[in-house]
Parts: sequence; C-alpha cells; structure tokens
Amino acid sequence: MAGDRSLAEADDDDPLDAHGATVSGAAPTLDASGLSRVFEQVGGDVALMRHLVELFLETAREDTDKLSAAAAKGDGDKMAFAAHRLRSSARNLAATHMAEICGKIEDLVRRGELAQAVELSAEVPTELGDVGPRLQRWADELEAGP
Amino acid sequence: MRVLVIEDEPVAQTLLTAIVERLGFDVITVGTVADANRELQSEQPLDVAIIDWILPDGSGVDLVRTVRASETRSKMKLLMVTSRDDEEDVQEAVLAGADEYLMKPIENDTLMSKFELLGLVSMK
Repeated sequence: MAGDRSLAEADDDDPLDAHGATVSGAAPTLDASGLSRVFEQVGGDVALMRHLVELFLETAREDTDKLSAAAAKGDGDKMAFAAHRLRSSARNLAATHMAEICGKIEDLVRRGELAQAVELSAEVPTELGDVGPRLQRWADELEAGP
Repeated sequence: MRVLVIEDEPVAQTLLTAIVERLGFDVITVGTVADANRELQSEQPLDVAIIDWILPDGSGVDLVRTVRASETRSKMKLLMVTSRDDEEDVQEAVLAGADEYLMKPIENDTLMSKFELLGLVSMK
C-alpha cells in the first residue's frame, strides 16, 4: 500500500532510515510499519496524515521547549508532563526512538532520579531535529504519490 | 452512538477522533477535565467516554470516579486510555470504575473489540 516502505531499503536520504538501530540496538527514528499502520487507520487520507505530521511538528517543538525549561529549573512534575505529551505524540506517529527517550524521562522522574532525567532531556531537541525532517519528507513523498 | 473523547495531546486527540468517526460514531472531543465535566453535565445523550489518564487540569481516573458517582451518568461506559501499562495502573482504573482499558497507540481493531466487549457494537 501507499506509504509502506521497507526499512531495508533505507539510505542516507531516506526519511525512514533506522537511526542507530544497527549500532546500538536503539529504536528506529521512524518505524516504517508503524507509519503505514497509522496511514491505514485514517483510511489512507493523505491530507489528514499531512495535518497530523504538521500538528506533531508544532506541538513537539512547544513541548520540547517546555521540557527543556522544566529541566533547567529541575521541575520534575513539569518535566514528566511534557515528556508524557511528547511520548504520546511520538508514539502516534511512529517516532519510536523519541517515544522511548521520553518514556525513560517519565520513568526516571517517577522514580525520583531527577538528575538522570535532566541529563536525558538534553537528547530530546536533537532527536526532534532528526525525526522532524524525516517525517516531513515522508509526508511529502506520500503527497507526491507512488 | 455518541462518543466523548477526552484527550489533551493534539496529535492523539486528532487521530483518536478520526478513528472513532471512521468507525461510524458521532464524536465530541475535549481536552480538559473541566470541559469534560461540562459535556457530562449537559443533557445530551452520551454512550461512552474514552478518557486519557493524564490531563492538564487533573486525572482521568478521578474523572472516572466522578462519573460513577453522578446521578445521571453513572451507567455510562468508560474506557481509560494510557501509555502506562503496569498492573497497578490497570487495577487503579478498574477500581475507579473504568469498564475497559486501552493502551496507546490506539488502533481501530482494538477499539472495536473493546466496544464489542462493552456491548456497544456487534461485529458478528
């Protein structure tokens, strides 16, 4: 189906390239099958997928800023809330590695390990900088059609 | 059937609303406990609420307790949604009065099976 790309076909310019997957065993930046599932869930509605991607980029930037600000103040509650929202939106758009990082931040805060959560929070803007353009390219390719 | 979706995160809210609409149901979407209470206190028919666990102005579990204690909505079907999957969370939701529990990300088939379990639809 449209939007279904194999990770095995990924290359440096491919939005679905598996960041770190073969080196460290980390989750992929974008999970190809996950994105295909979302596309299927919305009935192959390309405009809605584009809207979801734009919504993700906008809200993830806001929530990443909130996470960084909360981390700078050592505010665990606000860090956990921002990380929770980021995890939710990232999982919905198959941004698996970002969801994994944010889930860890939430867990660390819940366990009271704030210093480690603050340290890990610094990775989120970098991950967003990686996943954002990949998602945009994926949506562009989807719009362009096969 | 009319579904009240209570989810604050915009991507999850948009996606869940689209999924429920695609399944053929009417949807009312809100993002806070306060707005959910406003809808629940109205006289409009509501068959089921899909409630996110963590909301900006309170907890979805507390909202479940509020609904169960209300005179007019106590029999309403309630589905808790969360990305937290430990057993204690499931127990807390069920003890609060949730009928079913859904893990994010939500998928059409899973949602339909939960609706069927609740007797809201028949897939036969």
